[in-house]
Amino acid sequence: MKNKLSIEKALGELDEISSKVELEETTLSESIEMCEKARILIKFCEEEISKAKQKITELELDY
Amino acid sequence: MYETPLTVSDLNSYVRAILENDEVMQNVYIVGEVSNFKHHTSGHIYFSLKDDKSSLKAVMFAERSKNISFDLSNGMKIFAYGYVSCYEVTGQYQLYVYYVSPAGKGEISEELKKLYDKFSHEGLFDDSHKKEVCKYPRKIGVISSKTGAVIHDISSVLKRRFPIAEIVLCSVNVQGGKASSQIVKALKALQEYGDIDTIIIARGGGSTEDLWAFNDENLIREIFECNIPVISAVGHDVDYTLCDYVSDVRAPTPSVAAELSSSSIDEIKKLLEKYRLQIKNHLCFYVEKLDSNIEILKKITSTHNIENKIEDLSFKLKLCKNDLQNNLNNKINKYLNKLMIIKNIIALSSKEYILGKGYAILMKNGNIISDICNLKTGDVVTIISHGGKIEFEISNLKLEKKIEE
Repeated sequence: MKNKLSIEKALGELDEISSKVELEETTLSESIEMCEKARILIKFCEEEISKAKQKITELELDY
Repeated sequence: MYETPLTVSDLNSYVRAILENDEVMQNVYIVGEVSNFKHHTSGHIYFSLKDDKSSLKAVMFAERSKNISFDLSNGMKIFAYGYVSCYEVTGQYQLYVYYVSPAGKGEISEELKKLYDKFSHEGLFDDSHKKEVCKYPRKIGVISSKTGAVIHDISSVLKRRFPIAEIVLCSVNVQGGKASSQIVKALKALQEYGDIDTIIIARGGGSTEDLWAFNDENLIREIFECNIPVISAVGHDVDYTLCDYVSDVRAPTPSVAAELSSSSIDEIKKLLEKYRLQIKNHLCFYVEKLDSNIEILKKITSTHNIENKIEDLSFKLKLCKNDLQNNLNNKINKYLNKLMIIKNIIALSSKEYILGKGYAILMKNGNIISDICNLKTGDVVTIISHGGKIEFEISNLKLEKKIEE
């Protein structure tokens, strides 16, 4: 998943999970399972943002 | 005195040899009036040519006479081209004719008109057959006399105007009986030469008779079939020959023919300069546009823009996390609330709660007694209440009936 996933797509999935958890029809165990997945996505996004900031620093040095 | 007399045959033979070895006699171009005209069934034509003092016998064999394009008859003044020889049998010398043409103005005009109509009807003069003349020729074939002003004029113009063009001169007679056949040969030779871009047929001004060779049928057809563009510059501006009509371009003078066959170096230079400036302007504009695009792209791809994007994404992530946390917490709280309610309900139904309210449980032999009718005197009973339990024996049981409401 991580190889093809972009940060924008990951944020989109997080939004979706958040909405589903809110729904009455979603059971507690389903919500917890989805939150587990969300945790992985959040970690991925944070890593991507960190890499991007690092790259910015390198580019600024080149400029 | 002669030692050995000649025979008649010897003499006639000798005369014939003299005539046939004489260059002038082999290329005779003569004018005279036709008389004693006879058209034999074999196709041969026999006639005499005469002037006010003399006459000359003439014969035109069938293979030549079939090309005559006008009505040859007694009294007609004609030009004739051929050779003189002696008919040994009779000792008669006569003109053996290759070619005839009308000599009188009226006859010439009439014949010219006939020829014009004939070729025109065949489509030889149609514009659809005209070829375009090369503007940048490498080689120009010129068919003209090697002496005279014509070739000089053509060379001067080309040298000034387009000096890189090579002139290939085919020197021919430009009038007389031999002219048309020589021009035909020159046309064929130039086509075989290779790399000739244009052919100019040129001669200076002259009378209709002088220019008659340029109306020859064989020549007209050869020009029509020629695969190289032909410019005709025959005579002066007012002179028109059939060569002018059948050629791809007609020039009023040889100098104009040279101009029509080439481009001016000066004009080419001006054109190149114009193209150079256009290319330069286009390039400058293109480079400026590229520069401008690069500046725009630099701004778009600057790190400042990317930092903004990262900030934006970070903020969105934060919001997502908060929403998720809140939604999960809300869900859990809802479940907790439900659980609380159920607990309370259960609590209200519990034994401790009921005993706490002052109620007691009656038991016998470990079983709950729900109806005292099941008891009798002497039973050992246990009462369980909030504070503990009491065990006793029933000594005097009095039952009071339940009052029905």
